[in-house]
Amino acid sequence: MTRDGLMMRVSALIGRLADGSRDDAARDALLQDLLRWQCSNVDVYGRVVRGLCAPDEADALRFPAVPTDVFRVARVAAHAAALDVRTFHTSGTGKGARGSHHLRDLSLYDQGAQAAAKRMLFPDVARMPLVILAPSANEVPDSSLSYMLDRFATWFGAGEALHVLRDSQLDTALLERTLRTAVNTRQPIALLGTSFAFVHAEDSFGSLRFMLPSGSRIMQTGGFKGRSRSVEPGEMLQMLSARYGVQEAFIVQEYGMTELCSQLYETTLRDAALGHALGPRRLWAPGWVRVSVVNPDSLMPVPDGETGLLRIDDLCNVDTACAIQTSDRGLRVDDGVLVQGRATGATPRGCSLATDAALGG
Amino acid sequence: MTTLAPDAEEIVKLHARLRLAASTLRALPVAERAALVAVAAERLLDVTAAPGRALRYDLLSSTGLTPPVIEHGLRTTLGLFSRDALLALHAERDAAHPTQSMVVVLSGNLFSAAARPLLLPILCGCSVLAKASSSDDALPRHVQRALTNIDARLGAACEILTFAHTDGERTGALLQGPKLVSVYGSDDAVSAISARVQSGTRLLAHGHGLGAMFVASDALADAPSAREIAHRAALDVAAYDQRGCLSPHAVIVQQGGAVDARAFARLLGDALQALAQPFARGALSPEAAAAQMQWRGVAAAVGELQCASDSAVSYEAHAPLRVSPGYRNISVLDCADVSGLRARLLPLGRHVKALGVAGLRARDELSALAPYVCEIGTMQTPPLDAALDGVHPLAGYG
Repeated sequence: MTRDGLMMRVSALIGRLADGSRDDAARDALLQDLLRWQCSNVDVYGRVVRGLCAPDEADALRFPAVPTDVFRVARVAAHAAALDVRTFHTSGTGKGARGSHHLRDLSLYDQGAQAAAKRMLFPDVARMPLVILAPSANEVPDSSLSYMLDRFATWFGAGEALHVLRDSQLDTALLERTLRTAVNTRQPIALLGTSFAFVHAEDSFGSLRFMLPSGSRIMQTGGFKGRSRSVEPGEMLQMLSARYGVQEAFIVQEYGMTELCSQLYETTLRDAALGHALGPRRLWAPGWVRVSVVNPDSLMPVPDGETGLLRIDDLCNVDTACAIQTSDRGLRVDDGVLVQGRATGATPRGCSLATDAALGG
Repeated sequence: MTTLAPDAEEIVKLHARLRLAASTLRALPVAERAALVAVAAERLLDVTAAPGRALRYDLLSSTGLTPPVIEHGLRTTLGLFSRDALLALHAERDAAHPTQSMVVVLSGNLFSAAARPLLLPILCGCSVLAKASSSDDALPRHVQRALTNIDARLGAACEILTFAHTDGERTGALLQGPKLVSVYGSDDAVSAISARVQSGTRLLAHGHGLGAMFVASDALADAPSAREIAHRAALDVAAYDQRGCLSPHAVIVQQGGAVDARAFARLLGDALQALAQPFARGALSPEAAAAQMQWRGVAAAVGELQCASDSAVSYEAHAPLRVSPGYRNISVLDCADVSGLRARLLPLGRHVKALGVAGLRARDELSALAPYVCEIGTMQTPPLDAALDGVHPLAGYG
């Protein structure tokens, strides 16, 4: 089993499942091989596996996943730093060091991101104008979101993508002009950005309302950690729909993490665009990603319908760690998952100090 | 959130009633007050009697701790309140400015933390109006009931209110009038109360904190000694599921002993695992479990992790001290000497409330590191007269 061999197998699987089909047996077989290879070749992953359990080599799918905090304190990679082609960092909105994801190769990232976005964000169009409420990758080269959105501009954009967030400032005048043009020319557009940028726009626009042409869509991503204002998902959906005149089904969440190369998307846009019946709003994982809901204490899978923490096994993370243990709470809904916020900020029930408070004081 | 309290207007009237009750209380000789308080504690400790059974039943749901851990907490706390011990403590008091009545705010503490602030004022003839935590008011209410059942004069001098900390109206009424307010809780809770107390009122702050352990090289002369220290350390970690302000979050082992820090970490892991059955850990909330998962992952990545189902010990050599999420997760670190220990604890500042020590004959310089310095194995069982926040337990109202 070699790294190049694993890369080729993952690429072939993505190619085969890009149409949305599934082959979970093939995915899991490849995951078994990748997990074993990473256990031997990614030093930190091997340490995590040995520290958190007595690994059963026969079933690598039960190897523990790497908790996201590990990316803050250690280099999680099979390769030397000299071979990094890109390092993505977490946003740093929380306390402490930022997490780092060191990539040796972006080909699987690109292949997976393009296939998933084509299926879930642009199933009905080849290209359309993109308006991006996030900094460009030139401005923030260590942001995985900015990288992905810049790639979207290449793959799905009609003309040059418009970044309305520059130097940490949302250019609301430019955004307003762009929205008015879309309305006047009846040209559907895609608004893609961070949830907080949309809230910022919301706060700036006051009574302005837009009725974007049918086919327009909104993709929002990220939470509100470290921000002065947060908005509940249901409220956010209503707010965006009312502000931009986009039907709620065409407004979707993207779930991505710096530590992952693949993304999950809500299902409603695809279903609505293709005239399918809308199921419950949930996140869909592409066929090369395995999402498990695990008991937060034992880290073992919970029965369907029970809430737990999301563990995500992403085959595109060949050179780092494919098994990521998040602190996000979620549960299975139909063929997808529903994220219910993050299980953080725990203060022990007693008079012991919370970790942040202790080291902050 | 539970509210078991009269409205603000009634709370103001309660202050006046409690001042009267204090006069009656003071008319009793101290020996009688001590005897009655001791009987109240005994009744609550007695698992065969109705009050003791009811208390344990309520604590099981309010604390999330398992029965043996609750029992340990009760025995090592209420068990201290003997008549003789109370009289000895009373004899040490500074009676220059005795307080007639006081307010106690108990917000988010271990259940047993309510015993001292409720019973010691009664011993001193001071009535108490206590605001219990809205998430756990079991022990305060059972203490009040026990006092009432034993002697109505004592019961009348102790009133318990349960309401949310966000209830500004009731909080305002609670803080209206007393000359002494004692607050147990987080830094935020202490600040919030501190901002509302009236001028001229004395505030005793008992903020949240944590503990650490220091194992000097002379204590690790051989494997049996190290094993015995590890066993005692495990008891300190496991008590209250490591949720108390005296609970240790790191063991700092001095280099140069026959057993090194790495080996000590393994012994501690074994000792904690041995407690898993007889002294089981309670269930974790999703937030606590997530914090544990992240802490353990980092421990495995930067050090060596010995992980059992409900405890984990990491050996992190010279890595910076990390505060564990509690619930029986602890790290073991190296240091060269007491200066190294001081440097290790520096980031925790004033939050270090307890330092458990093994070995080291000359401990004078350790007293600057924590207000409560004790032998490993006794961190969670301080004596009645322990100066837990650096002040005598009767300070302010004795």
